[in-house]
Amino acid sequence: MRILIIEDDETTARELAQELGNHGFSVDQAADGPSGLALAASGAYDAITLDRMLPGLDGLSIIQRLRAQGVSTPVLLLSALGNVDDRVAGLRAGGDDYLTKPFVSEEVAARLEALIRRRQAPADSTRLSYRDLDIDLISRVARRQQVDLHLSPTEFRLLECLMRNSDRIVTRTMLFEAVWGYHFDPGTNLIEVHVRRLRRKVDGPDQEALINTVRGAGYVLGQAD
Amino acid sequence: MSWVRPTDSHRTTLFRLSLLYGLLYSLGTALLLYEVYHYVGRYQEKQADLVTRSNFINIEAQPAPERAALIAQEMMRDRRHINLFGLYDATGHLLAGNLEPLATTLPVQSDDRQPHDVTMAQTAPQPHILYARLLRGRLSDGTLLVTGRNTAAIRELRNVIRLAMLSAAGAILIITLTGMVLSIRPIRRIDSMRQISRDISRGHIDLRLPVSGRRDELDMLAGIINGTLDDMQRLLLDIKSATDHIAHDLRMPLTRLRALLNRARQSEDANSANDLLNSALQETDALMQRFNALLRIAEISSGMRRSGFTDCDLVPMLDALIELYSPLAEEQGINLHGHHAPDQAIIIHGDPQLLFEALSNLLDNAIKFSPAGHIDLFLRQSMDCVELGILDRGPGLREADIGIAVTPFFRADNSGQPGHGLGLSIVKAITDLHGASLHLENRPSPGGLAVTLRFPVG
Repeated sequence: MRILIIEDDETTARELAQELGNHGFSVDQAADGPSGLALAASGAYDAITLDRMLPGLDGLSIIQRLRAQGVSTPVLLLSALGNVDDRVAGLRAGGDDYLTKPFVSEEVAARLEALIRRRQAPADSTRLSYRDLDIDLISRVARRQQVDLHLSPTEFRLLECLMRNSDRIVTRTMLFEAVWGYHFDPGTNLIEVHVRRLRRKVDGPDQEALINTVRGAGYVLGQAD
Repeated sequence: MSWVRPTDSHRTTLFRLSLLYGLLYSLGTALLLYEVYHYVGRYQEKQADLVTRSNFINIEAQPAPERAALIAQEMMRDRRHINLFGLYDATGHLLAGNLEPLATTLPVQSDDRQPHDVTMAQTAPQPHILYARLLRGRLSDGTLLVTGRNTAAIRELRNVIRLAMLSAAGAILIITLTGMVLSIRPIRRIDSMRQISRDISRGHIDLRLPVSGRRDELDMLAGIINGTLDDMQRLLLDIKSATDHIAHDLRMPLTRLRALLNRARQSEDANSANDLLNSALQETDALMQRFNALLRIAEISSGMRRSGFTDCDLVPMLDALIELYSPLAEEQGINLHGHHAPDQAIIIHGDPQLLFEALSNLLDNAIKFSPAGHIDLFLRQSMDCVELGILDRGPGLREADIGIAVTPFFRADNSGQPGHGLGLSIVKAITDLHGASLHLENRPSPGGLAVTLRFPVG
C-alpha cells in the first residue's frame, strides 16, 4: 500500500511516515502544495494525507484540482481548523475524511486503512460477512453460525462498522462517529462498555473471540496485521 | 473636563452649522431689507419729484403777475405743508413761497431744473433743519423759481428700515452666538469622550465614558460603548485567568512527563524502560486531551460556531443520550430515567453536535459521582424557555464550589476520578454560545446535584 503524505511541518511528516511505515505502508512525502499535487495526480497512491494549510497551494484547492482531473484517490485531510464549517468545506471539496490537529498517528493510520478498505469494498452489497459472522444490512439481522444474535440497533451498527474494517483497527472516535454520528471524543469507558456488550453477544464462551481490543488504539474484528 | 479651546470648536458640526445658518439668515434678511429700503425710498422720491416738477411747470406756465397768487393757492391746498415753493427776484428777495430768503447758501446752486437733495437751516416757524428735494430754475422774467418737497417722511421711513435691518442683524447675531454657546456643552462632552477613549485604547480598560443622565444620543452611544468595554474587560480577565490556570495545571503533567522520559533514558533494563515510556505516553495523551478541550472552549467561546446553528429537536437527542449511556450506567448499578411529554417535539435553535457534547459531559459527570440508584433526566417546555435537567443522587457540590465549578480545571474535592476538569467549562461555553443559562443546585431532598440548562425561546 502506498501512501502520500503532503505536509509542510517536518516533524509531523516524519512522525507520520514512521507510524505508517510501522503499519506496513510505503510512504512518500511532499512538503508543499505544488509538488504534492504533482505527485498525487500521478494516481499511483492508495491514499493521501493532506494538510490543509500548505505553502504554495492550499489543501482544498489541491483536492478540487485532483477531483477535476478525475483522480479519485481517497484523501484524509489534516487540519488545525476544527469547526463544523471547515469540516464540511473539506469534505465537500472532495476530501474523504477529516482529522483535526493535534492528532495521534495511530488514528491517522486506522482511518487511512478504513478509507482504503471502503474504496475496495463493493458499495452496493447488502450483506457483510466475516468468518462465521454475517449480517444483513436490509433486515438488520446479525447471525453467527446461522444463529440470530438479537443485536440492538446500536450493537448492529457497531458490528457493521467493525466488519467493514475487518482485520483493521478501528479507533474509539471512528466508532463513535460511525455509530452515533458525533464528532467529539466520548471518553474511554463509554465506547468500551458498548463494545463489551456486543462482544458478550457475538463471542460466545466456546467460540473464537472475533472482537478484540488493541490497547491504546481501538478495536478490531479479527486480528490487526 | 478641560475648557475646549476655541480653535477646537470650529471643527465641530454643531458649531459649523450654527455659524452657517446664522450667516445665511443674516445675508437673506439683509438683502431683503435692503431691497425694501432701496425701492421704497426710490419710489417715494420719484413721487416727490413728479409733484415738484409738475408744480414748477404749472407755476412757470402762469403769466408772471399771477405766479405769486398761484403759489399762495397751492400752499393753502397743501395741508400737510410738504410742498415747498420759493419765488425770488433777481436780488434773492423772496416774492412768494414758504422757503426762506434766498441766501447764497441755498444748497442748490445750479439752475438745471433737476431735483437735488438738500439740507438747510430754516428759521420759521422755529429754527429747524429742513430736509428737502429742491428743483431750481430761472424764469423768463429773470425771477428764480424753486419748487420742492419736504423729504422728512422719506428719511423717516428710511430710518425705520435701517433700524429694522440693524435689529434683525442684532437678533441674528444673538441667535448665532446662542447657538455657538449651546454647542459648547455637547462639544465638551464629545471632547471628553474622545480623551477617555484615547486613554482606554492606551490600556486603561477600567475607564468608562461619562453618562450625563440626559438620555440623549450621546448618552446612548456612551452606554453602548461602555457595555462593550465591560464585555471586553471581562473577556480579557477571563483570558488572563485561563492562561494562569493553564500554566498552573499543565505544569504538573509536563513535569511528570519529563521525569518519566528521563528515567526511561537512564534505565538499563529494556522492559522497565518500556513501562516508563508507556506511562509517558499516557501522560502525553492526557495532556493532549486537555489541550484539545481548551482549544474547543476557545473556539466555542469565540462565537464563530453560531454559523452551524439549525433547528434541533431535543426529544430524540435526549433519547439517544440515554441510550448511549445506559450500558455504562448499568454497570455501576445506575438507572437512567428520561422524562418528557410523549409525542411532543421540543425544538431549539442550536448546534446539535455541541448540544449533545454538553449533555454528554453532564451525564458523564452525574454517572461518575452517583452511587447506585437512578439518575433522572427531564425535558420540558414552558412559555418562554426550554428546560433540560439532570438530577443525580450523588454528594452534590459544596456550596462554596457552586459558583466556580464551571471555571477551567475545577475538580471537586472527592474526585479520585480521572479527567481533566474541563468538562463543565466546555458545557458552560456551549450554553453561553446558545444564549442559555446553566444552573447548578444541591437538592435538599433526596440530595444530589441538579444541573439545569435553560434555553430561552420566542
